[in-house]
Amino acid sequence: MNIKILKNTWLKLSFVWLLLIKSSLVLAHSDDFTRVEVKLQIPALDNKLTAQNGDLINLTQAYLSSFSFELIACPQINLKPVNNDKVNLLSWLIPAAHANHGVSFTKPTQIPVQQRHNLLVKTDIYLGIYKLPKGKYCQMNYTLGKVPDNQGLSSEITKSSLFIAGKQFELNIGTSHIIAKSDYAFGKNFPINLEIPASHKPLSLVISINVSEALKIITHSVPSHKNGRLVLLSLSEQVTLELML
Amino acid sequence: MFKKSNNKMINDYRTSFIFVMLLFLIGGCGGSSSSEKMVDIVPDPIVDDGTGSGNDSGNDNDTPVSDSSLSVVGHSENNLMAIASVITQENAQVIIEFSSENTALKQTLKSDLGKEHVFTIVGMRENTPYNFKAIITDSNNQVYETDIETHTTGDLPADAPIVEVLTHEQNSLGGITFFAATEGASTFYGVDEAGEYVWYLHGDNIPMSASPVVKSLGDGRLMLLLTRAVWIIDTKGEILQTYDLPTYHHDVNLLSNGNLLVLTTEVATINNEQIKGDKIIELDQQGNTLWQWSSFEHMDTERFPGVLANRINNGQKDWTHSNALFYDPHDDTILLSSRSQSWVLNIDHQTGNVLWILGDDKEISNSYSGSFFTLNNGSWMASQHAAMFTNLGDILIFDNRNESELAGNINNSRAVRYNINTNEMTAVQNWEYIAPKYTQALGDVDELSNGNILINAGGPGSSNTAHIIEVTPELPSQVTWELIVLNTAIYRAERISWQNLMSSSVGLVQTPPNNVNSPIDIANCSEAVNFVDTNNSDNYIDYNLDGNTNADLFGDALKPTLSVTCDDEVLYVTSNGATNFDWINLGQGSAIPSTIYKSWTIPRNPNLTSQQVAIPLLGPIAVTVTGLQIFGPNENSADNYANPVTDGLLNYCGGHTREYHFHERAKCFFEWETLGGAESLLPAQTSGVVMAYALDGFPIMSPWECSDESCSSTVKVNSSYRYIGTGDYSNENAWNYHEYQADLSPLDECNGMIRPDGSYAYYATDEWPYYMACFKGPTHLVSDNNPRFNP
Repeated sequence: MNIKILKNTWLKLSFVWLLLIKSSLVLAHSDDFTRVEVKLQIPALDNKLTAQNGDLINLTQAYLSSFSFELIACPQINLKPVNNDKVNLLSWLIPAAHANHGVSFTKPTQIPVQQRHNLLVKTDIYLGIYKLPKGKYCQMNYTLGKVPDNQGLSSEITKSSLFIAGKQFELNIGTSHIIAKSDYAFGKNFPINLEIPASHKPLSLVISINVSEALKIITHSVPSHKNGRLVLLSLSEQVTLELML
Repeated sequence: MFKKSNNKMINDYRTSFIFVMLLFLIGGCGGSSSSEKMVDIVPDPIVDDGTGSGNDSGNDNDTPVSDSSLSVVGHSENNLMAIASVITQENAQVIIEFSSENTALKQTLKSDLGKEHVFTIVGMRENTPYNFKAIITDSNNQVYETDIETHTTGDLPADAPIVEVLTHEQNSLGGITFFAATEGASTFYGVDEAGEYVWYLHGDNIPMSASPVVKSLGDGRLMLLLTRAVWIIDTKGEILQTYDLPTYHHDVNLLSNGNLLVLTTEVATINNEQIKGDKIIELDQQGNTLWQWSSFEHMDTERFPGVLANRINNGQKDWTHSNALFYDPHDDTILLSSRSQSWVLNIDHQTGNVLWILGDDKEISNSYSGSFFTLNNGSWMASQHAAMFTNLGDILIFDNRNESELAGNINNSRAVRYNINTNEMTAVQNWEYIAPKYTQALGDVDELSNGNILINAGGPGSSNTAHIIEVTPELPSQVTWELIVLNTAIYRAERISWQNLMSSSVGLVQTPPNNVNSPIDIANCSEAVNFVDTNNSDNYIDYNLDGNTNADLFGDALKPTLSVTCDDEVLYVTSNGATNFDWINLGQGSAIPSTIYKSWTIPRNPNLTSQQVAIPLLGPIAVTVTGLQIFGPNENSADNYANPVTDGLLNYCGGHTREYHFHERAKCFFEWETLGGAESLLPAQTSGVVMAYALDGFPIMSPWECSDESCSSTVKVNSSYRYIGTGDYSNENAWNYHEYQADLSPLDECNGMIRPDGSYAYYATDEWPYYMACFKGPTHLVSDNNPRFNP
């Protein structure tokens, strides 16, 4: 190894070491924040859905497009400036956002997702590490929106925030038809009871959505956009949070 | 006049009525005229902007006077105002026209239907004879004119500063410029385009502060920032509301729910020093503190970057000296301009967290790292005032430059604009205008409704003369208007339109015309048939099925108000912009919906023109039959050219919040049941359904049309534009990535066609451009509705 290579290697190692030190220093100063790894889990749907009117539906396609989550602090919380790890140091860990919809994710408790989930397979997405202000959170906002296609799907699906298609189970022949669909963004605040404690080690927060429960509101004979509305309205009731210390 | 009630003004009215009644008795009025002449229906408020040549002061037509008379007397407490009174024998509506030898014709709003009509005339110059005429519209829509009455205005207050207009170009927005002198003055002033005083507000009981501020609320109301008090007044000077403040320092914002965000100061002892910082408090209308934010909890108390931050007054170090607040309902955030820190902070209104800081990051502590922008072009502001978001999301600042590397005392102060990218945390200085002087304190900058920028280099510095300058927003800027106010320091300058100035001349501010039968005048306005009476909650779309309207959940201000009237030439639509459908929280900031009062003027019976005229880049291009605004098919990303439908969080109705507007077809009108039990607000898959009127007067139809003149079948109408992009919607200019192909559908490049009945209309298509891509009709009224229109 010649001296030049040694120097370069040493410089690189020093740089990495400095980065680590800087990162530790920043975190060491951040007593008001806790690093939290956030995951999104959506159990796979059973492709046999029982509609509200008792009809059995054989699901053929099921997609849901999550735009973002946001934790909303209980009113008493009042904290100092925040540096979001996601935006800065650890941004390389986060899947690239394909569209910003005119929205800037500048709030520390905003969690971008911007992904379309195939509901017929299990979804288990790592959303990144966030420095969340410690304290109590009383509400969460879950917003769905159209996201660009990265799976080669039809335009009918990519233009939707919710798309459920299937066939009547007893007549499992012929082409499937759309059962529930929405082609717009939808968001809702719903109550949660979450406390982010002080912690020197990263915590893990799992957001789970039980879509299959929300789909039980579907009635097969109802137009797809009306079924879509019912699913969206009930979806937030199926969101659960689990914080692992 | 300035008592905290309207009683005085009511007395003025009574005095005027008595005066008019005396006239009736003396003159033997009451007999009917034998030579009444029907004239055209007079429009609702049309105010000449002063640039036209109309001077209709002479009574040169032979229209006989009806059995009603006009009286005009000077206002008892304001020499530039007058009280005009008309009593009609039958119910009627009245407009007062007035003009002088050197001023263009102005009109008041139309009075409510009734027999007694009293107007406060504002907007007149001092010591000037004015001619007045009443235009009376009776309940049968017959129109009469009274004889001309004259009145000469009086003197201005003796301490009015000397003003002079140096520049006045055609592309100035026009209107009245308001200001107040600092240091002991007791008067607020307004000057017209020619630099003549046309308004003042004077009173010994006004608790003027050392730096009095008048702010326009954009709807004819003015907000006066006084010593520990905020007054909301109309342009007659009537106090509409007062707030008592525990303390106040330089700025207050009025929120849409009636609460105030007030900038105040507080002192703390740190390291044995008295440090003065900022506190923002939110007060409700009863004066209760609902929210507060302290700089001591959120800013670095060890940063003292320059002379201003180290300055000691009354034993207190002037650590932050913030001087401006700007509340952004879109994100529910607050801009705070800290002069001593030379920073503009963006504060989350929910949590109080500082989201980012615009300015130099020198001498910062670790806890701020990541909060700053990398400036890729230009230079940071220093010791600034008046930070605000522009319509395009940039940040506009009056940069005094006391402690700038390009020091103001050598380089003058400036107005500067930054474009910021909060994802990349980068900023670019994309515009500046160097003021004609150095302003070491005070200063203001505002974006006007036509995009021009109003700058007030009003403080002491390199001269004692204030310069109020309107410039165009591009580089290099053109000065469109400049006023100097000699030997006077002015903190802020505000511009309001003549229409807003006149809005309080009669009736209530923001109250649409109130016809006795229905606000939607179907009897006299053929277009009105197509409108939906959103004043009736039966026509409300309860998307979330909870049985509540927005007004039920968020207050009566969210009740839609809509009025539709016509004259021969113009369709008048007024609306408070409240939606008649449920608001959905898309997590974009404000936790409540908002409204925007609009008064639309749209040409009737338009003819196709030989030209296709481009629609404005941003802002309204049409109004729905529910009174809501429709914007064009681009916004936000890609320098505001991205397709907001494919790259936007549009809700179930095809639009989004921050003064709700549509980009996509208003789908909810056709898809969801109403509270009144209708299957949908407008019939789906039905031909001939008008869902909007474009600003050139042509209707915008729902996308179903008769296949032929006899309507033997109904066909879906599709766009002739084809998407040719790659799906990277955020970065694609929608206009470049949609290609017109004439063979795709019968629609032309503007998204319209000749209907089977021979008339022309645009169509609200499922695909881009969704409503329209250009105007095919007359565009002479477009800029009245969207000042950004610039053909």
